Amino acid sequence: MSDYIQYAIDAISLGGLYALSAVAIALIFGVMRMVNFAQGDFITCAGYAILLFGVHSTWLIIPVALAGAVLVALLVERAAFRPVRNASMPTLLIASFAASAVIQNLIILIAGSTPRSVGILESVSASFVTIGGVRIAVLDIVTTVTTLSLLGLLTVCLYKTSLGLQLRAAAENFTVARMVGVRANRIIAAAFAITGVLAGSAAGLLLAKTGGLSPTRGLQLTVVGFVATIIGGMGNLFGAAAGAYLIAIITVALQTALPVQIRGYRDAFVYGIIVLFLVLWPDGIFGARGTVERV
Amino acid sequence: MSRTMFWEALRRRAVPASLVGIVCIAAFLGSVGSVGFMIQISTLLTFVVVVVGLYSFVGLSGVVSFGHISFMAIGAYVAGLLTIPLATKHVLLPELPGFLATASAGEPLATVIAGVAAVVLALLIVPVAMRLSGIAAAMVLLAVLVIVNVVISQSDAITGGLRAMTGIPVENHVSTPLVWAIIAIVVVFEFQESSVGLRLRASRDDEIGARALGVNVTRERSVALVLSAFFVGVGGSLYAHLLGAISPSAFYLELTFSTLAMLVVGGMTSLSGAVIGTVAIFALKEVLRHVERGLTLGPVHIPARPGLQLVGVGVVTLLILALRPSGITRGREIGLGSLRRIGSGRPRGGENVPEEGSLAASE
Amino acid sequence: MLKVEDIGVRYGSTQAVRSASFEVRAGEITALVGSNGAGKTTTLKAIVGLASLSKGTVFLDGKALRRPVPERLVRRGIVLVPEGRQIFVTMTVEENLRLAELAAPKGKAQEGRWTRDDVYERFASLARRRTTSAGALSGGEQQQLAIARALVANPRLILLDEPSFGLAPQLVDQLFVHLGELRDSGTAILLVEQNALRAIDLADRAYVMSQGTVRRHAGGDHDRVKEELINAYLGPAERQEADGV
Repeated sequence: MSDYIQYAIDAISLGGLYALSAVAIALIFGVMRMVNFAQGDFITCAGYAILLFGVHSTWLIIPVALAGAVLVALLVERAAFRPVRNASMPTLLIASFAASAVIQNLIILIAGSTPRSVGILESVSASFVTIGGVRIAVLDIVTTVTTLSLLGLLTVCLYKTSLGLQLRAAAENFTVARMVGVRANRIIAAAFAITGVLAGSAAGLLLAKTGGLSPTRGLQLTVVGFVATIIGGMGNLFGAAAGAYLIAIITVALQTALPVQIRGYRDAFVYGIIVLFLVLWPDGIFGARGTVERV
Repeated sequence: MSRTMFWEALRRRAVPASLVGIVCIAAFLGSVGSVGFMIQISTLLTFVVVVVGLYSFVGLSGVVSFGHISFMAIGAYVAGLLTIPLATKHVLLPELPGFLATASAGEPLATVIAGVAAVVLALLIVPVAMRLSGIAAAMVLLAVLVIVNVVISQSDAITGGLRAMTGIPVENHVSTPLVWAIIAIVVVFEFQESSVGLRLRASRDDEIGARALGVNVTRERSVALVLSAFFVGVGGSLYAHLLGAISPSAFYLELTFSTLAMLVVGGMTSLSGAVIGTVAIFALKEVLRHVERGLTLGPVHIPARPGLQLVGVGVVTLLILALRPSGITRGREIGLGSLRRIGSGRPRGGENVPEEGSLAASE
Repeated sequence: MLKVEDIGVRYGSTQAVRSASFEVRAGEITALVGSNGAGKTTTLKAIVGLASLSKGTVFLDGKALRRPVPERLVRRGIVLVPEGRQIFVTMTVEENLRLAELAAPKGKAQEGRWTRDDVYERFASLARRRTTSAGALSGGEQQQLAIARALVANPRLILLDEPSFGLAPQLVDQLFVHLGELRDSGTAILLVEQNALRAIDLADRAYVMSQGTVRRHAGGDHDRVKEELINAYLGPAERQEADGV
C-alpha cells in the first residue's frame, strides 16, 4: 500500500514540473497562437543562471532563476517572435523551433556542451519525513506546494486582476482586444514574463531533484509541455495542467509496471499511449478553444 | 492532349529540368574537386533527397512535421543492417536474430529497401495522424520521432543502441546521391502536378474550402506522407553510407531543425525552394563550420567555437521568416530564367487560387 | 475632426479600397453606405490601423496619423465597434465593460463621462445581466453591449461597422435613436451601414462607396445621396431599365 502512495507522490511531483511547462506553453498559445518551443530553453537558461550566480547562497537561487528566465523570455519575444507576430501558424511553429535552436547553441557556444553538476538545496533533497508510515521526500512536498501555489496564483491573476482580464481578452480575440485598448506589445510581454517565472521555478525544482545541467536539459520539458497542451486541449490552461499530470501518472505507472527488460522503452510506451489518447479525443480531452475556424 | 496543353506541360517541365541542372552542376563540381569537397557535395545531394522528400509532405499539405527524421533513421538503420559485411556484422552485433544476421544486400538494393521500410512506418502513422488538424498532427509526428529514437536506442541487439552502428561500407562518390536526387525531383514534381497534388495544395491554402469542394484531405495527406517517407528513408540510407557509422542521437531534433530550416529558407511551398534552400543552408553551414574549427585571418585567430553553425542557421531562418516569410524563392518555382507562379495567380482549369493569409501569399 | 484623403488599401494583389476621401465632424453623424464588397469595412480598419494604407493620408484634428495603432487610438478617443459586435463571449457583461474602462483617457474632465454605472442606467437590460456571460445575451443585448463597451472608453469619435446587422426592426429603431442621442451629446460618429436609406436619413452627411471608391457629397442633400446610392447598387444602365418598368 505504501508503495502505491509513493508512486502517487512521484506522479504528483513530476506532474507539477510538467504542468509548469505545459501551462506556460498553453498561455503563449492562447495569446499568440504559437507553440513556444523555447519554453524548455528558458528553463535551461535559468539553470545556467543558477550555476553562474546562485549556487553559493540558497537565498539567491530563487531571484536569480526567475530573473534569468524572465530576461531570456522577454529577449526572445522581442527579437525572435515579434517580427513574425502575424504570420501563419506553420511559420510561427518553425520560428519558435529556430529560436530554441539558437538558444541551445548559444549556450553551447558560451558555456560548452559538457554537462555540469549543479548542487543546490542539497539539505532539502536529502531529507525525508514520515507521514502515516510513508516515507516522503521533502523535495517532493516542496515541489508540489510550489507548483500548486504558482498555478493558483496564475488563476487568481487571470480572473481577478486587470492584467488577467486583458490576457483573457487577448486570448479570445486579439484584434478585438486591441480595439478595446489592450496594448498588444505589453500584453504579450506580460505573458512571456509569466512563462519566465514558471520556467525559473521549474529550473530550481528540477536542479534540486537531479543536479545535472546541459544545454538540452529543458528539452524534454518542452516536448512534454507541448504534448500535454495538445491532449489537454489547445489554449485551455486547465486542460494543459491536467494533460501534464496525466502524462506524469502514465510515466510513473509504466516505470513501475513494465518488466525490467523493457523498462528502457518506457518513453516509447508513454508517447504511444498519448497518441492513442489523441485518436480518441482529437480535440484534446477537455476540448480545444480558439483553434477551430468558424466558416 | 491538345497542342496548347502539350506545350504548356512541356514549359512547366522547365522547372524540374532547371533543378536537375543545378544538382548535376553541383555533382560535376564535386567530382573534379578534392576528395573532401566531393564528400561535401555528396552530403549536399543526400540532403536534397531528404528535403525534397520533406517538401512533398510539409510543403504540399502545409502540415509542419517534426517527425520526418524518424523515417531517415529507419532508412539508415535498415540499410546499414543490410550492407554491413556479414563477417563484421557477426562481430559487431552478435545478438542479431537469425534472418537479420544473414540478410545482406548491395547498396542500391539496400537503399530501396530502406525507403520501403520508411514507407511501412508511414503506413502505421497514417490512420492515426492524418485525420488530425495541423498542430495535433505535428504533435503526433513529434511523438513518432521520440518513439523511434527510444526504440533504436534501446534495441541494442539489433541497432547497437546508443553506442553506434559501425562498419557500414562507405560510399561517398557523388553518382549515387545524384541519381537519387534527380529521381526525387522528377517524381515529386510529377506528384505536385498530379490531381492528387493539386487537391492537396488546395487543402493547404484553404482547408475548409477544399473539404467543401469534396477533397478528401485525409487521403491526400496520407499519400503525400507515404511518398515523402520513401524519399526521406532513401536519404537515410545514403546518409548512413556517407558516414559509415550511425547513432540514434544523429537522428533527433538537431537534424529535424536543419532539414526544416533548409525547406523554410528556400521557400516552404515550392519544390525549387526545397532544392535551393538546401544548397543555401548547406553553404552557410560549411562557411560556419570552418569558422567553428577556428580560422586564421592574417594576424587574427578566431578560436574553435562549436555551436556556431546552428546559431547561424537559426538566425538566418528567423531573418527569412521575418523579412521574407515565403522564402528565397518566394514560394514560386523557377523556370528558364524567370520566376513563374505555380498553383496561384489566374485560375487555370481546375486549379485553386490561394487567398490572402495562405502560406503562398503571406508576406 | 477626422479627415480622410484619397486613401487606398491593398490586400495582396487586390485593391480593396481604390480612393476614399471624406470628413467626419464633431457632433455629427457621417454615414458611409454602399453595396457589399465596396470596401467600407476595410476603410474603417485602415483608419484605426488594422489595415495598412497603400496611399493617401488620414488626418486627426488636422494632424496626419502616421501608422496608427488601434490600442493607442482608443486612448486618444477613437473607438471602432467592429462588424458582428465581437464582444468577448467567455467573459461576463461586467468584465467586458471593465476591460474597456481600462483604456479610457484618464484625468480628462470630460462632460458627460460615461462610467459603468452610467451605462447600466442607460441600458437597463445590461444592468440586469451584469454577471451573465456575454455569449448568453440576445442579439440586441449584444449590440447594446458592444456600443456600451465603446462608450465606456469615452470616445470622441465612434466608428460603427454595420451595427444593425442581424437585429430585429424594433431594435434597429432603438439603435438609431441611441446614435442620435450620442450625436447630440457631442460625439462624432462614422456609421457604415447596409441599412442605407435609414442611415442617410439619420446622418448629417453621407457618402456612397462603390467598388473601392467614395464619391464625394456635399452636406445633407439626402435626395441626391439616395440617387447616387441607387446608382451604386444597380449601376446606371440597370437603373434606366428599372425606371422604364
